[in-house]
Amino acid sequence: MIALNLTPPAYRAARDQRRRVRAWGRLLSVLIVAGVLIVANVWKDANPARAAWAAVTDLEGKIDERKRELALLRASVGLLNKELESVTAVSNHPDWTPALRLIADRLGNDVVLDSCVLDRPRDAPSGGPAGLPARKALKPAARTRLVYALELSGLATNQAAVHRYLADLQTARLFDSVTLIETRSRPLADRLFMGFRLSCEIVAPVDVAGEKAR
Amino acid sequence: MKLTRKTPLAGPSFSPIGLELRGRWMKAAQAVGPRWRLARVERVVPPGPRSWLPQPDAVARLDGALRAAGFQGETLILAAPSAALLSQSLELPPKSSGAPIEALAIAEMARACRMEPGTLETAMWETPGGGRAGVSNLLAMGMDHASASHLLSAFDHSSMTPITIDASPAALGRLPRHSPESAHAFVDVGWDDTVLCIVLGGLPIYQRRLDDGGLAAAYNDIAARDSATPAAVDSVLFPAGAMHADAQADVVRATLLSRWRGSISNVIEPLAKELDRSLTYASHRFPTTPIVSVNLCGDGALLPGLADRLQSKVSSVPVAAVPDAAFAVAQGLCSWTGTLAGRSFFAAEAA
Repeated sequence: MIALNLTPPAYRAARDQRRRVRAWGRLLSVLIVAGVLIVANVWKDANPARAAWAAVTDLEGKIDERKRELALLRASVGLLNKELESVTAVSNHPDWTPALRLIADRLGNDVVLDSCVLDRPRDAPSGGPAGLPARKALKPAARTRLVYALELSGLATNQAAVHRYLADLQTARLFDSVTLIETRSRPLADRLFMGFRLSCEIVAPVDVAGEKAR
Repeated sequence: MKLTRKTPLAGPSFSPIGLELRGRWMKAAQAVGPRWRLARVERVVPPGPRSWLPQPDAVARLDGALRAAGFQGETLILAAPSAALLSQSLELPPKSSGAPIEALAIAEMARACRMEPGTLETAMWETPGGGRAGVSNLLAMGMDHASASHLLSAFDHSSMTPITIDASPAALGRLPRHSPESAHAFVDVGWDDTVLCIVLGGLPIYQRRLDDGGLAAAYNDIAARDSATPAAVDSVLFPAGAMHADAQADVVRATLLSRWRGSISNVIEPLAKELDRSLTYASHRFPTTPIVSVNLCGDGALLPGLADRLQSKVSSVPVAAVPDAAFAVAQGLCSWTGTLAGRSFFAAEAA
């Protein structure tokens, strides 16, 4: 078999040249694209300041993201604290049964009570139990102890009975302090009795106030 | 031979487009997968020495017709028009003598064609011996640069790109056939002329062109006598489609064939005589390579009575038209490859 090519040499040369130009054009295009990619990669790697700026920008973005997360968490903590205070206010009360039993047991035959009032609890001063001079309000962060004050008032047959009752309450060591506020003579049914007012205080941590009271 | 090549995305494979420009018709073929795509565009044959050159409007119509017919790619393999193809049998010193065979052949061919050697593009190859001892027999084919340039530039504004100009005998030699190593004769009946060639093992070893041996002589004679248009003559000589099924049309056709028999014989008889003469010459020239078949191809291959008349003239060799006879050259062109074109066809070199 045979195949002829009778095209003039000039035509073949022109065709070959066109083919070569096309081939070189394709090759050149590929090389240019590859070169641009390589240069871009090398430039990025070889420029530390730019790389550092890129890292800083990246870190700033991460920090902003963490800040946003922190703000959300703080909002959640605030809500949870409010819930906790509400729950505490409703459920965390001291049990006064032992104190009342002690107060009643120590009355005897010569002392009677006509009132027993529990004041609102107040913050305990840093110096110690009630009665100390520093009575400034504590900062919320230091508010770890409360003072519960129970004010008793009643009548006794005489001054000695009042002091005996006061001493019995103090020796029982249930209360942190038992203070005689006042004594005053009070006539009743043609007889003279001794009226008195006592303050019994219990100092307890906020979270275990109930336990202490028990 | 593998005709088709795979597309980059492994779609349907297709061959280059083979295009034969000859007389009234521009005929294209392309192998797409296992099938052939064929298209034929008619053109007006202008008078003058380069009547084979296609006009721009004809090329534009061809372009559209090929796209409409589903041809793919833009690579075009042209056949040198038979009127522009130069062919010469040469006797030169053997290659082994060290003589510049190619230069001698080109000079000899240029002298025979009355042209300057530098204005010719030629290809040559050895043919079987039979001549004198110490002489190398060559067949050279060529085309002058001016004609080739005109032919190529006709496609400057087309979407197709010609990559080569081949010779129709070489294209016919590449057609697949039985016993490809034997010698086969081809009778290529065209519009203006008829080309006789003998192919041995796919290699043309003999070529002869018969001027005025084409269909145009018969068509002109019929037109002069009955004022029949070429299309009307086509429908009688080469019926297709509905004409076969219509009995009335068959009667009309038979009547016209009988009336035009003389005009047709004016084409067939010289052909039969020349074929007989050429085969006789070939049997003396190539005594060791008997011709095993005569193959009819070209636009006139199916001319009524042609095969029977040639068979009666050369009774020792079977005569038959090849499949898709009108497109035989275009189909052969599709198997053109640069590898084949770059081969050396000198036996001494091959040894």
